[in-house]
Amino acid sequence: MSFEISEHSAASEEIVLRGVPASPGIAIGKAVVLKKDGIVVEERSVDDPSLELDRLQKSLERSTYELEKVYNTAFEKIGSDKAKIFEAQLLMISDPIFVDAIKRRIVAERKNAEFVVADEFSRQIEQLRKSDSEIFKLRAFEIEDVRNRIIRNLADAKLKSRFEGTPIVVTSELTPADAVLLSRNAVLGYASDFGGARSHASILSRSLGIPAVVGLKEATKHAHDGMDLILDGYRGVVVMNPTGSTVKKYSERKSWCERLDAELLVEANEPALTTDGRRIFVEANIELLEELPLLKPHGADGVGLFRTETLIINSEAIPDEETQFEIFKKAAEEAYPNPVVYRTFDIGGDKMFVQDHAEANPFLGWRGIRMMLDRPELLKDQFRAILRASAYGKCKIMYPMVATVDEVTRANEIFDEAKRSLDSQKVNYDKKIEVGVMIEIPSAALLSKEIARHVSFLSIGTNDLTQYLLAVDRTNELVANVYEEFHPAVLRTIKYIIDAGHDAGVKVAMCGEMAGNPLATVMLLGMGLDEFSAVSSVLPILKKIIRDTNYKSARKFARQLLKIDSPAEIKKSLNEYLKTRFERIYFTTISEENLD
Amino acid sequence: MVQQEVVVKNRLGLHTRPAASLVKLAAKYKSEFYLERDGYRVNGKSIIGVMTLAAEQGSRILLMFEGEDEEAALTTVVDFFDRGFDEL
Repeated sequence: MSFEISEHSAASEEIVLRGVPASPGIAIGKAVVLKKDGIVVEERSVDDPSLELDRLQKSLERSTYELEKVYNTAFEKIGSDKAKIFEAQLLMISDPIFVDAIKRRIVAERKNAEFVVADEFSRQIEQLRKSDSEIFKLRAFEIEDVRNRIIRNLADAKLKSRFEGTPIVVTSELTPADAVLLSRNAVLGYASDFGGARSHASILSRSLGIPAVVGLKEATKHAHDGMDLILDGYRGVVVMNPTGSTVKKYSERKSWCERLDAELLVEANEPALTTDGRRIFVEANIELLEELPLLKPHGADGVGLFRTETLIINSEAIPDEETQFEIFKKAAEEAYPNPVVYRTFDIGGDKMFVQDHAEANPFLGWRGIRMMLDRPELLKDQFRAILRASAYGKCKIMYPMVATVDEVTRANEIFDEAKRSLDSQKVNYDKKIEVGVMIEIPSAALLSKEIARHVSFLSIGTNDLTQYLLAVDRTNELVANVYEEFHPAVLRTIKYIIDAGHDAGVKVAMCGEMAGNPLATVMLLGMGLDEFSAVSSVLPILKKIIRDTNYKSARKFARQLLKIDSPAEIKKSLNEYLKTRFERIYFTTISEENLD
Repeated sequence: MVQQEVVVKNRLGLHTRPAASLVKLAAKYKSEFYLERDGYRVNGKSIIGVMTLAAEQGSRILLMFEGEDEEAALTTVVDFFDRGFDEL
C-alpha cells in the first residue's frame, strides 16, 4: 500500500456520500487521506548505483522499524497468533538471499531500486499465484504487502501513522495492519471506499469505539487532506465540505446522540422485561474474541451467534480441535454465566472456500451443514471442541443452512458420536448442552415444527431467508433494490417459524440483520420472538425499546402489520411507530432528518 | 553434493511458519541449500523462495546440499520434514 497525499483540488461545495454504518458515533473534523491503490513504479537508469543501494538500505531499515511497531502493537492488542503474519513479513524483509539478489541487479543493470524491488517481488508473487491451493494464493498478498511497504519507503513518503491533531481517516480499504496502527493515534473516525460492516477493520473500530462508515465507494476520490468532514456512523453518511448550517446541525445531533448513548449504556444491564413482564433475551453476534469485552458494557445476555468460520479465514485453514477448543473455551468463560451459541462452520456461499472449486451458484451450493455432513470428521472435531468448552461455561450449538429434517438427525448422530468419544476418554462436558437449528432456507421454514422436535431451539437467519424467499442475490447490485427484509412474505414466514417453534415447545431466536434493526424490534416482539441476537453496539437500544413496550400492544401491532401487502406500507407503519414512541432512537439510528 | 527426496506430511503444507523455521534451521549450516519441486528450484535460505514452492501436503521435494557440512545439514533437514515440521 502506498500512502500518498491526494492530489484532488479542493472542491468547496458540500458532498454527501452514503455507505454502510460500521461503528456508531458522529465525528466532525478534518480529513487525512491514505491512498493505497495505484503504485506506479518507473524504470530508470542510474549513474551511481551506490546511491540506489543506500536508498534501498534506508528503506529496509525504515520498513523493519515500522513492521516491528505493527508487530508489537498487534501482539499486545490481538494476541500472538495473529501477530505471526507480521513476524513472517519481518523475516521477508531480512531475507538475505532475496535482498542480495536485488542489490546485485541494481549494480549490474544500473536501475533504480524501486524498479528492481518491484520486478523481483512480482516474480515471486506470480509464482505463488500459480499454486492450486487457495492457502498459498492468499500468501501472495502478504508478499505484496511487504513489497509495497519497501517501495513506499523508497519513495520517502512518510507513513502517516502519527497525525497532527485528531483527524478522520479516509482510505480505500482499511487493512487489519492499518487498523492496529491507526488505533495508536487519536483518530476521530474512519471512512473507507470498500469493506463491509463485518470486515475485520469494522469490528476493530467498534471495539475501539471509533465511529466508522465503510463501503462509501468514492470517499478517496473526493477527499483531500485537511478537508472538513462529518462522519455519521449511526446512519452511514459522510458529508464533505459541510456548510456552516450542516456543521451546526451535526454538532447538535452529535451532542444529543451522545447523551442518548450514555443514558442507554447506564441502563444496558437491566433485563429486557416488557412493561407487562415478558422476559426477552438480547444477545450479541460475534466472530472474534476481541469482541468479548463489549458484551458486559452493552448488556448482552450472552452470545446468540458465534460465527466460527472466521477461525478458518484467520488461520489459513481449518483449525484443529485443540485450537478451536482454546478459542471456544475463552468465549464460554468470558460470557459465563450467560450462554454462547456456536454456529458450526458455515463455509461456502460468499463466506470462504475450503476447496478451490468454483460453483455457478455458490449460494445454492455446497455450504453450511451440507458441506460439514460430507466431511463428518471436521464436524466431529468441531463438536468435540465445543463440548470440551462446555465444561468451562454455558455452550450451545447451532447448525446452519439446514434444508431437510434428515440433515438435522444426521448431524445429531455425529454429535452423539462426539459425545461418546469424549465419554470413553473420560473428558468432562455439559451433558445437558442444547442444540439448535438456523432457519434460513424456505424448506426449513415450512418444516420448522418437524425440525424443532429434534432440537432445543430455532434461530432465524433473516439475510439468507430473505434472499432465498425472494430469489434475490443480496450481493448483486443489479437486483439489490429487490432485496427487502420487510417484504410481507418474509414477515409472514418469520411469524410461521415462531409459531411452529412454540407449538413444538422450543424457544425461537433471531440472529439476522433484522434482529438488530430498531424499526423491527416491536414487531418481532409482538410476533412472539424469544431472543434477539445482533451486533453488540445496538443491544442497549433494543433493550430500551423492549423495556418500554407492552407485550400485548406489541402483539396487536404485529397482527396489523402482518395483514399489509405492501413492503412500503409496512415500512411506513414501522417508521411512524418508532418515531412516535421512541423519538430519540428514531432520529439517532433511522431518520435522515434531524431532531429539532 | 548430497541429495534426498522428502514428502510434505503436515496438513497445512510448507506454509509461512514452517518456512520460517526451515530457513532458520538452514542458516545454521555453511552448505548451500536448494529445494526443488516439479523442476522449480529455490534457495533454501530464502523465506520468500521457500514460500513460493507452495508445497502442499503430499508434495515431493528434492533437497540438495553442497558444502563442508552437507551431510549434517541433510540429516537435520530431512528429520524436520519427517517430523511434519512438528505439526503432526
